[in-house]
Amino acid sequence: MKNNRNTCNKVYVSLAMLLLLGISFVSAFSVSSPYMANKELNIFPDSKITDLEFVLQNGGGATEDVIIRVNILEGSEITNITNDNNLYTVSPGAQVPVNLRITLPENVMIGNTYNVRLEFSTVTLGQSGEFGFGTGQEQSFKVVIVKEVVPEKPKPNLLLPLIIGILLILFIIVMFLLRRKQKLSKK
Amino acid sequence: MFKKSKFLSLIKMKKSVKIKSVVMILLISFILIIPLISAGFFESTWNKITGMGSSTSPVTLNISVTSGAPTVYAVYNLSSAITLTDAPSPTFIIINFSVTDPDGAANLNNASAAINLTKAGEELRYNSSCAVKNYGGNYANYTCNVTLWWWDASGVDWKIYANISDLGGNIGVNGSNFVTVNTLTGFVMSPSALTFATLVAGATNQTSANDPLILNNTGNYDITTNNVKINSTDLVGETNPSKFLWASNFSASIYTGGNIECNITASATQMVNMSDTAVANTILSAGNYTINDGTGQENVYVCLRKIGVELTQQQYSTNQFGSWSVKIV
Repeated sequence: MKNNRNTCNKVYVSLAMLLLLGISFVSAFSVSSPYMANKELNIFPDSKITDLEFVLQNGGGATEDVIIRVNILEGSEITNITNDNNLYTVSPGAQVPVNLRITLPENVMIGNTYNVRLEFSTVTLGQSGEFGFGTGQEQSFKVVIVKEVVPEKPKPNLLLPLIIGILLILFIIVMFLLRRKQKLSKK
Repeated sequence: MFKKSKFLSLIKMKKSVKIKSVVMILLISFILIIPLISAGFFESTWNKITGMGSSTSPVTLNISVTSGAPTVYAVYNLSSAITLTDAPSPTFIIINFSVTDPDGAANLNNASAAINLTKAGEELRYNSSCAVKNYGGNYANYTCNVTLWWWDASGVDWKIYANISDLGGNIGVNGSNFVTVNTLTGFVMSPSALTFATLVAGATNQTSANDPLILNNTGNYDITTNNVKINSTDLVGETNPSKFLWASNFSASIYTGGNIECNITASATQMVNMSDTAVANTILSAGNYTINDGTGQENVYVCLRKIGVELTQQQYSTNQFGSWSVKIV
């Protein structure tokens, strides 16, 4: 009797699992971000506000819209998304901008750093019996407060006039000595 | 007496010659030293000796050829930075440049107008058939369409070489401009469904029937080791929510064969509920994945290590705790 029940269970589970895991989960999107060398964004203390544009794309042969949620995981004290909400519907082949604003605090000092971590993830709409599977990515970078580099004024090259002056003086001295010698020899 | 005076005058003459020679030598030295001074010879030597010459200053050399070679100028791309189109589509960028030729625009060989984009370590991108936008007098404007691909590296140092030759074979080149390529991060995953052949309550080490999950890098950003992560959640029974298919009963690996993707004491990675779990040894470098030889690709094999004996017939879903997610970091 017990054996029969087990066999029955095994069949049931088997059927259920086949149903559960055979759910489509393909999704693809990409995020274009401004180039930052070594993932560092250098900002001058005076630049109170810096706007960055990230671009969402739905490629990879996609045929359906994808909904992407953007979350700030780290650095929310200086960053905020200026779009109306954090959900973006991206059609296949489309490019949708996500605008990020970095606002430096009043007391910011040179050398201060802030880590910013953004999460972009697909929104999978839950349906009964679904084994939902989405994709996501994180973008992280460091905001570094740096000193504004004022272009140096070219220093006047004093070497050339100095050498010319020395040569002239030498020339005059030599001429003077020679003339003196000539005068002496005439006498 | 005569001999003595002659001797003295000879000495005087010799002295005068000597004086003139010294003056001449000084003058010649002076003339020779001036170009050396103006070329910074002494300064650079002094800096080398004292070690004070640590700062270098760029030196621009303008070489003008007066044989009527064309001059290329005003090389520009319309956008300040290029957003690449993600895979598998190409990105077309327009680069314009102007040319002046002292022998007139008619002397320019339009078919030779070309643009090269170069960056260290990257493939050459070029357009060797630019179109004449307009011309008149000694001037002509060209527009070129250069194709970039999703795996072309990001950076501010893509150098633009615009060049053209005239009918006499004189070549004009301008390589003083750069274009910025933004970072593109993305991937696509297939197959479209993950299936298991037969699952029974109490079974162990069940591998997927149609894996691997193939991850293709659709951008130009290299996903380095262990930065492909899976965020898993427990699957909850929909009829009887006290029954779970635990996330921790799943594992993933880049290896397969002999159920190694199930062996969490070896190379497989055990999933952790509601946690971004790095699949060990995954690397997803940028590249042309369409070659399908592993370039820009990573394989992930999935195993259901244990199916609880307590499970009953019902639907198990991610509705309660949220979907699984494959992430790149």
